[in-house]
Amino acid sequence: MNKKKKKITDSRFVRVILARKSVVFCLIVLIVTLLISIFADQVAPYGYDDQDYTSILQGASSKHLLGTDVLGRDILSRLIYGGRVSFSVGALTVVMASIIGIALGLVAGVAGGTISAVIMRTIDAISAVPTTIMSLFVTAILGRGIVNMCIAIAITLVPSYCRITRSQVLSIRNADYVVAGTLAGNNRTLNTIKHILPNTISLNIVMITMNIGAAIMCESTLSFLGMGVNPPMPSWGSMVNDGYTYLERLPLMAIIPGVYIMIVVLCFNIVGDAVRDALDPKLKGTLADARTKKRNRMKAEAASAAAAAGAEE
Amino acid sequence: MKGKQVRKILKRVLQSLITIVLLTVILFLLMQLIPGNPIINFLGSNATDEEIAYYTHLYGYDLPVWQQYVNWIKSMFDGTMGFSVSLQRNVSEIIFSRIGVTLTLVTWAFIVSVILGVAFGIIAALNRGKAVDTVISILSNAGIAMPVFWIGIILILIFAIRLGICPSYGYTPISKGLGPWFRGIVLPVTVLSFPSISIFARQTRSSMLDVINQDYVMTAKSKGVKKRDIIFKHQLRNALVPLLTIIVNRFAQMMGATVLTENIFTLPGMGSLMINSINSRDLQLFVDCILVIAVFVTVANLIVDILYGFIDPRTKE
Repeated sequence: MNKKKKKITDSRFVRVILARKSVVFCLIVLIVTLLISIFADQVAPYGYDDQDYTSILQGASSKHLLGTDVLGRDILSRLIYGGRVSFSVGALTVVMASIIGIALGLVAGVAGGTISAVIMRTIDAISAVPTTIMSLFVTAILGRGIVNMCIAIAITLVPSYCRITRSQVLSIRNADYVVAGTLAGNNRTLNTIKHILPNTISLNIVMITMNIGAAIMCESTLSFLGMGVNPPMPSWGSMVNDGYTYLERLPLMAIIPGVYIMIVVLCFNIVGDAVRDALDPKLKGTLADARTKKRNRMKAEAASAAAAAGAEE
Repeated sequence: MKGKQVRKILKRVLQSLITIVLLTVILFLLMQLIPGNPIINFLGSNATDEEIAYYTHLYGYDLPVWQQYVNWIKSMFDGTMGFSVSLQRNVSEIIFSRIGVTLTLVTWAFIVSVILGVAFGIIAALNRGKAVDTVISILSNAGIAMPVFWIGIILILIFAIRLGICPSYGYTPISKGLGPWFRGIVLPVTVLSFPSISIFARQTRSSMLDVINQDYVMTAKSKGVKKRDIIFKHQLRNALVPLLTIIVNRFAQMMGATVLTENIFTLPGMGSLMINSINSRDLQLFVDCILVIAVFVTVANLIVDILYGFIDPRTKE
């Protein structure tokens, strides 16, 4: 057991991430928010579509902690349920975008020539359209709904995965171990998957963590413009839009969902930065790293001394 | 050497052209998938089948797909950019009447965010680890995470509803006086530039810190070069190289964010035009708007790529 514990703190990744208190704090916030929205049925005081006609457009009260909207629905409950949309869109989008992007990047990098040119120019063409507009266009084609929204946002994220993967492939395509694989008579596709793919993973993981926040932001934008999930399903973006109509009367109705979006996106960005630093080989041995190393070494020494003492007894 | 550079630039221009052509194909093919029909939308639900058939034929929506594509491309060159069914005018006229507002917004937002963002970044980098640095980095982190539409709403709440200094909607042309124009545009420009200021500040700070310990900065210091000269001539110039890509990328995203800004402040620009065209299922108009914006973005990318050759001391030779 002691061995296993030591292994976790030994990993540079965990060490760098846990070294910063802000990152740990953000991770906790994210986990709590995620759990709250997963268990919304148990946590939320009301259902997201429960209408209370006796209290319409009311401010905060003991009955409705954050007040009610124009249909008498509890805003706190809708906020909690809204997290489901944001988190699932965030996760699903990056999964889709990274799989497609990595695949395209691998093909472009390994195949080269015309295939690569076609893929890369198409990617250029897609990324020439600003994210917001591209995702609007795709949702206009596909219609509203969570999955359609994910596809729309994923399309805007594909180019970055594709480019990163391709440039990684190009830089290691002629490395000795890859060439050796080919010389050993390996099939080219097999060789790519076996030797090149693992080398592109770490950069892509960084991209994935950095992109979740962006995807959530994009989702809220689409929802704000009325192109998101189908009502009555709440989403933070559409809640801001609902509140916008009653801005003079009940400003909190628009402000609170926005704060929620900001907190979640901010936490994802900070965690994303930390993941990048943790996986970036260039930053190895930097101050934060050294400090935790020292602290952990002291801890480990103390632990092993204690263990040794325990064993002697 | 010179010929080589020219060839490189020409190759890059050609690449941009190919990108645009490909984009027209992609947009056109996707456009075929959009459900709904601008003609039915335009005529209303009471239209008879004959009427629909007549107008479908009139506007060429019954032609084979490839023929429609060719006609569309042709319309780019004769200056009409196609015909908008919902607004009953040539698309180029509509876009021309709208693009001024959008470009004004984006240009000002761009200028403001580059100046403020780079300035904040330099200040943070020079005061690394001090309170100023912490404040700037907290603000810039928050600025990136704030939804654009939400910032807009907060500003409307404070400056239009509570203080009554600025109008909450509408655009006043500069010909009606500088004061009203400024009051009308200051909130949208702030909204548009907010995320960019944060991103530029962060990027400037980190690239300034990247070069702060480079050999050439050390050498300049040891030679007794003035601090200001070191900052601007050595550090900033080198820090600017990675910053340029991000700046041009933000230009593109700002063009996109005008959809939101114009929607919130009800400004008569391209962004609100696009939302209207989606709602009336006017595909032609929407796709033309996208194309115009994409051309702007592509040209901006092209310029930056060419500029790289001049700015980056390493790619100069």
